[in-house]
Amino acid sequence: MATATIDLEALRIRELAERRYKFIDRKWDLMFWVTAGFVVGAAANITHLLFAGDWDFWTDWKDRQWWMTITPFATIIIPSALQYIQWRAWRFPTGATYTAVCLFFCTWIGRLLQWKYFINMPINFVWSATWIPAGILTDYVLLKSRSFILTSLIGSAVWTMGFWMSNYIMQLPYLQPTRFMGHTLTVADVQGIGYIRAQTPEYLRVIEHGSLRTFLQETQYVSLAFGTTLCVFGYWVGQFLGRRLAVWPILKYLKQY
Amino acid sequence: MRRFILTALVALLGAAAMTGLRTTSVSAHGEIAQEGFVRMEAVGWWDVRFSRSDLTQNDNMVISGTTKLLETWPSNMSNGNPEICYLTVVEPGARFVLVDRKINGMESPQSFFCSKGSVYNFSMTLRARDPGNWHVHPALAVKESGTLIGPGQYVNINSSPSGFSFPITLLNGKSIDVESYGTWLVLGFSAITLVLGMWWLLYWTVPGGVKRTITRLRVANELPLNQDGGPAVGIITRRDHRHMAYITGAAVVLTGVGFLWASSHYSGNIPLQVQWVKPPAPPVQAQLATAQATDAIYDTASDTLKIETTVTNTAKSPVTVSAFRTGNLTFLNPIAGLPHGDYEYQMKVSPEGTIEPGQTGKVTISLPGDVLRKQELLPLGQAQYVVAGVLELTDADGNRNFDTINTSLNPTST
Repeated sequence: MATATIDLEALRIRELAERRYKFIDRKWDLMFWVTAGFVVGAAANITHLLFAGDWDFWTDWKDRQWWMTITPFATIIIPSALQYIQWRAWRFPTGATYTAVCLFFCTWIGRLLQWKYFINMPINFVWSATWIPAGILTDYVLLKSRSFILTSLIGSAVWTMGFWMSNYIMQLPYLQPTRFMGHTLTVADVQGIGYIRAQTPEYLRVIEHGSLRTFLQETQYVSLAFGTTLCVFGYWVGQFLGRRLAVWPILKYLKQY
Repeated sequence: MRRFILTALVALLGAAAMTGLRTTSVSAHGEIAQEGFVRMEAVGWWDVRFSRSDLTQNDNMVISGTTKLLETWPSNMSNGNPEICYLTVVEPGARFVLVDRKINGMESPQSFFCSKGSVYNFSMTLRARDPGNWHVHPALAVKESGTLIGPGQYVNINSSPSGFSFPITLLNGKSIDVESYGTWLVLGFSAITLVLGMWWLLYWTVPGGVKRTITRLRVANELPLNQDGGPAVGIITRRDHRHMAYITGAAVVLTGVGFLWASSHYSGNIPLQVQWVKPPAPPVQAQLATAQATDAIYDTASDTLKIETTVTNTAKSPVTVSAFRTGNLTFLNPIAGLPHGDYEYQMKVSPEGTIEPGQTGKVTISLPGDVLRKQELLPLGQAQYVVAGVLELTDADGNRNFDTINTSLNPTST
């Protein structure tokens, strides 16, 4: 009897899902996704610039200590909020990927128009990182787990590692050593010295200067571990934003069944 | 639909027209936005020279000169004790590439340790990059204070048929052009990730109209948060899971294989480097005289700033007040030289003539008020009514002596 009730309930919901509405057609869906793209891209970009702007802007800031610690935390906030919103509203495991794609367009339009075209900075010095592989992996964790707690734990680790591995591929050429002005430097350092940023003196770089607190000199892995922990925190900041600032006010005016 | 296409075309044309508005030249860099007394008290500049003013792409130009962190460095900047400095160039974007920088003869690729009262003889070699007429200054950035700009000039860069290149040799012997190195890896890898991301998104949002967005809200609203209803409800199907596994697998393979390939292809990499240096002290110059400012009066009637100084000649030959340098300006005594460039002006020295060995004399230098006002170096209405700068004294053999002077500014008419 109970099974029959459940099946009936499932059938009712299935019918709802398959129902076609006369006045709510695909154009509205398209308009929604495109319009939301601007809002999400702007929100993600602002958060990114506020917390991790310079690290993700110049190759000579993309270090193995701070870049990996700060950027995953800064950039998980909006994807997390979007994961909640899109899962809550449509059961779409798309929040992180959608944010990553919006951020991709926002950052690349900015880099190409403002930095490459207007002031002619070489794009290989000011390229934007990509969050898309990390977003796909994090969305996959949500799809399989259907749990925000598990996604915050596993997804945050996946987000940090995915971000590091995918962007390290692009950063590696710029970590090749050379001799420049009588010193051993990386290509990224040479870019930072050569392409003059008048109001960004070199001493402003917040990068690894060395310390006694590295674990067996493995700065990279210590940073990744710490970055993952921070990322879990950032994930719940995003959940708060999604739950309390986005969905909760809407639900107050939405009919509940 | 036709209207939509038309609107999109107009928007695209508008955007394209806006991108055509390229900046061609900038003639100011905000140096007069900084408070006058700060610029006067903080840094002195002299003998700044540009080796060339007309170049072709890839030509080198050397900016040389001397800068000093004055003894009058303001107590409210860097806690009154500047320690980390960065000698740089202020220009409208990266129109030149810096290929060499020496401070007191030492190669200084990055920041350097500095101190109040120290003198730094510098040379910076710049390689012409972008065609155009650019205004260029040397500048000294000081940690926890800001960037102080020296005297500048326009430099013209003509285009070269071969364009610009920035060649260097890696430690593995490979020659690269920094201008384009690694660009295609960045663009190509980013584009591939975009394809994967779009694949993921389009699958959920427009798979043949099966998965709708807006109307699905009502369906999802029926289910507990941690459930998707399973196959019975069918909003997330086995096919969906399978498809997502493919894309996730592609992302993992792309990232993993890419990581292994890049690690192998670009082996021998090192972390970003921090190479701060402590330049040696420059050769000590003979002390010819001492100078002390006793008063500075701004005379509104003659629109002149008069600085009264007491000069004591400690050398064996007569000395002359040859110049006064403040901010990024130089005021020259006409008997010592004529001004040239945008940052040099004349001053009056009274009494004219020399100060004999062993004598102490009072010398008044008069600076034109209109120049100081234009350069915002008359600190009227600012937090400190002070005047400071470097007084240059020259003996008969051309030896020069640089004394930092400062005194309170009296703004009343005499």
